[in-house]
Amino acid sequence: MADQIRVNSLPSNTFRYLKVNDSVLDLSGLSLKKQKDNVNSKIRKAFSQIKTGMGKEIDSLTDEYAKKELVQIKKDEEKTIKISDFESLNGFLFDIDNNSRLNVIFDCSSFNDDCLLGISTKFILKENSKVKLTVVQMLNSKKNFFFDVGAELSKEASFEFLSVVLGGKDSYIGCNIALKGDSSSFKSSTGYIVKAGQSLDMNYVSDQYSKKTKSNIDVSGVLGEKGSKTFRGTIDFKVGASGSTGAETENVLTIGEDIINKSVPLILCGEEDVEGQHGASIGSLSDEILYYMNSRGIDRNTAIKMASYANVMRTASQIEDKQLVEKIEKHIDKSFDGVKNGL
Amino acid sequence: MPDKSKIVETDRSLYDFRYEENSKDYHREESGITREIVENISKEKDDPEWMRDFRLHCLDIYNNTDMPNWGPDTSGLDMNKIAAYVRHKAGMKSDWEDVPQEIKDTFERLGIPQAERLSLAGVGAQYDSELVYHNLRKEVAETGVVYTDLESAMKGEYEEMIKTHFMKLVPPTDHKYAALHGAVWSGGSFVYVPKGVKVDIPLQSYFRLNAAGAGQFEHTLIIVDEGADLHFIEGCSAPKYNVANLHAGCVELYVGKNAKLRYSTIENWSKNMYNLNTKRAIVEENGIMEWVSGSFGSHVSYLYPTTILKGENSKMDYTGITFSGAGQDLDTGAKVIHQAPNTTSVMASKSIAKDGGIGTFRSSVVITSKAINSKASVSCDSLMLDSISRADTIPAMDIRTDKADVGHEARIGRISDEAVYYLMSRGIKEADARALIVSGFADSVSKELPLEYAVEMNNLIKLEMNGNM
Repeated sequence: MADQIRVNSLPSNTFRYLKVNDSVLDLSGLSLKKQKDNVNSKIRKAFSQIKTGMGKEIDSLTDEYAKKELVQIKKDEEKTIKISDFESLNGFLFDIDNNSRLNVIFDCSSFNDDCLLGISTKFILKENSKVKLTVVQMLNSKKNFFFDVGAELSKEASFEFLSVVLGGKDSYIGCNIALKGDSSSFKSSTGYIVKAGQSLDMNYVSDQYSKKTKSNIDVSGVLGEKGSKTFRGTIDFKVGASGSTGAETENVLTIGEDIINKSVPLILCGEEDVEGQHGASIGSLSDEILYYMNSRGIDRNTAIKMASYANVMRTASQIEDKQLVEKIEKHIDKSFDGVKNGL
Repeated sequence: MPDKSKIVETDRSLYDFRYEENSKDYHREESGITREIVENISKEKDDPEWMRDFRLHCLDIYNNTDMPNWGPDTSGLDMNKIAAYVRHKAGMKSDWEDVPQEIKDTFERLGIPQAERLSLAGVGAQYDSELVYHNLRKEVAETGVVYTDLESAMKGEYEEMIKTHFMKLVPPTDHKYAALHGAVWSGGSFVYVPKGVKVDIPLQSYFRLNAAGAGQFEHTLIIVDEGADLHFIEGCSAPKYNVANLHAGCVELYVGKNAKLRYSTIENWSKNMYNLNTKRAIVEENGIMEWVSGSFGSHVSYLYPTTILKGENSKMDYTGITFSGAGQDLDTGAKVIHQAPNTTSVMASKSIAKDGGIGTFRSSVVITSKAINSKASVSCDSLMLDSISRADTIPAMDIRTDKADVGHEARIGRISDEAVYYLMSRGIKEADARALIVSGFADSVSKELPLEYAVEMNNLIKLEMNGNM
C-alpha cells in the first residue's frame, strides 16, 4: 500500500502554481488488512462503473482493504438507516430499486480505533427513487477523515447529500453524481467549521448527461485562524443535457488570521440549452453588520458565533435526526467556549 | 420559430490577403529552435553581450521545461517547423513613405496610417520579426515621452533601464513559452512616460505576421512613472495558412505610484495561429492598471493578463471578450495577485462560442496575508450559440487573509428564443437579430474602447455572426 495517494482531482486542471488540481491523502502509519470480496461479481461489476468524487486511487484502496456492505432497497420500499460503528476503512454499496426511498445517516462523532476513518459509498438509483445521504463528522483533532460518494441516477431519481464537518484533523470529502436519467436531480448542502490545525478538502462533481436534469451545490462554512479549506465544485453539462440547470453557491465566513482558503468552482458546458451559474461570497463579518448587531446590544463575539451557527445550521437543520441536530448545536457552542475574536 | 441560419464560411479577406516573401527582400532563419539559431538571431540584432548570454540561458530553460498539464491541445504545434526569425531587409523607417511598398499596402489596408493621422499619439508597426515603422508625434515627444523600438532603446541611453526591467516581471522560468520568448525575442516597443506626464491620446503598436510557418516573439516594455497616465493599444492580425504559426510575445508593464495605464488589445490572428502570449503588470501605490481585451482570432490561445498589485490602494480592472468559432480553442481570462493592503481588482469577462468553437474563461485571484482589506470581484458570462460548441469557466481563488472581500459570479446560457422572436416580429431577420443580441452582450467591452476600435470590434462580431460585413 502506498503511503500517499492522490485524491479529489479536478475534472479539468488549471494553473499548477495554485496547487488545487488535486490533493494528497497521507496513509502512512496505517496498518490495513486485505479483505475478502463478499459481494457477488455481477453487483460488483455494476458498482465498479461508478465514479466517485475522490477518484480511482481511493476506489482501489477501499476495494482492497475495506469490508463491503451491500444494502438493497426493494421497489416501493422506504427505509431509514443510521450507521455509527466503523472500521478504519469502510465500503458501502447501495442498490436502490424503482420508486423506493432511502434516508441514510452516517454519524461519525466518535471513532477510537485508528488515526484514519475512511468511508466509501456508492449508489445506484433506479427510476423515481430518492436517496437522502447525511454525514456528520465530529471527530477529535487527531483523526483524519474521508468520505467518498459516487452515484448514478436513472430517470426522475433524486439524490440529496448533506455533510457537516466540525472536527478531525485533515478531512476530505468527494462526491461525483452522474445524472444519467432524464429529469434526475442532485442537491448537496455542506456546512463546516475549520479551526487551527484542521483542513477540509472537498471535490463535488455533478455530471449532467440527460435532459432536464438539475443540480445544486451549496457550501457554507466558517474558517478560523490557521484553518485550511479547499472547495472544488464542478457542474458539467454533457452533450444531450438540454433543458438542464445547475447552480453552485459558496459562502465562507473568515474569522481568524493565517487562513488558507481556496475555491475552484467550475462550470463545463457542451450543450447550448442549459443554464449554469455560480456565486461565491468570501469574507469576514462587515463593520456594518457588526455595528448593527452592537447597536442591538450584541457584542462582537456573540455576533460572530451567531453568524457561524447560521452558516452550519443552514445544512444541519435539514438533517432528519433530531438528536444528531442537537449534538451538532452543542458541538458548535463548545467550539466557541472561551474564544475571543473568533476561533 | 424558424430554423437557425447556418453560416458555412466567413469572409476574412480584409485580414487574409498577403504578399509572398522572396529571398531577395527577406531574411529567414532555418526552422527549429537550436543554439545556432539563437546565436544567429543575437548576431543579426547586434545584441550586447548580456543579452546574448540571457538568450542562451533562456534556451536552456526552454529545453528543460515541460508543457503545462492543463489548457488546450498544442500537439499541432511542431517547433521544428517554425522559423523563429523572418525580417524584411529594408529595416525600420520613421517616414511612412520609406516603408517597402508591399508592407505599406498591408498596413494601409488594415487602416493603421489613417488611425495614426486621426487618433493616435504614436504608432509602431511590426511586420514578421522586426518593426518596420515607428513614429511619435512631435508634441508628445517634447513632453519627454519615449516610444521606440526595444532594440534601439537597449543600445542607447535606456540600456540600464531595459536591463533592470527586461523579463524581470515575466521571468523565463515562468513557463516553457516564456523561456522560448527569452531565447528568440525580436521586435516590440519600449515606452517610457515620465513623472506626471499624461498622454491624452493613445499610442498603438500593430503586429502583422505575414510569413507562413513562422513565429512572432515581440517584446513590449512600458514604464509609466509616478503620476503619469497612458493608454496603449495593441492590434494583431495575420493571413491564414495551412501550416501552424506561433505568437509567443511578452508584455511587461510597470505602473508607478499614482500612475494609470490602460492596455487595450484587439487580437485577430488567423485561425492557424497558436497564440501563447504572456502579459504582466506590476502596480505601485495608488496606481491603476486597466486591461481591455478582445480575442477573436487564433486556432489556440492561452492568454491571461496578470496584475501584481504591489502598492497599497492599487487597483486592477479587466474587461474582456472572447469569440470562439469553428476550429478555435481559446483559453482566456486574467490573473491577479493582491500583495498590499486595500487593493482592489475587478474582472468582467464575456465569451461567445459557436460553430464548434471552444471558449474557456480561466482566472486566478490570489490574496496574500499582507493584503488586508482588499476586495476582488470576478464575473463571467458565457453565451452558447449552438450545441456543437463548448463554453467552460475555470476560475480559482486563493485567499490567505480573513480581512478580504471576494465575490464571484459565473453564468452560462444561450440566446433566448423570446428575444430573437421579439426582434423578428419587428421585421429583423433571424441572423441579424442574433447578431444584434450578441453585439449587446459584448457592449460592456466595446464601450471601453476608443470609438474607432469599438467599431472594428463590432465589425468583427458581425463578421463572425453573419459571414460578411
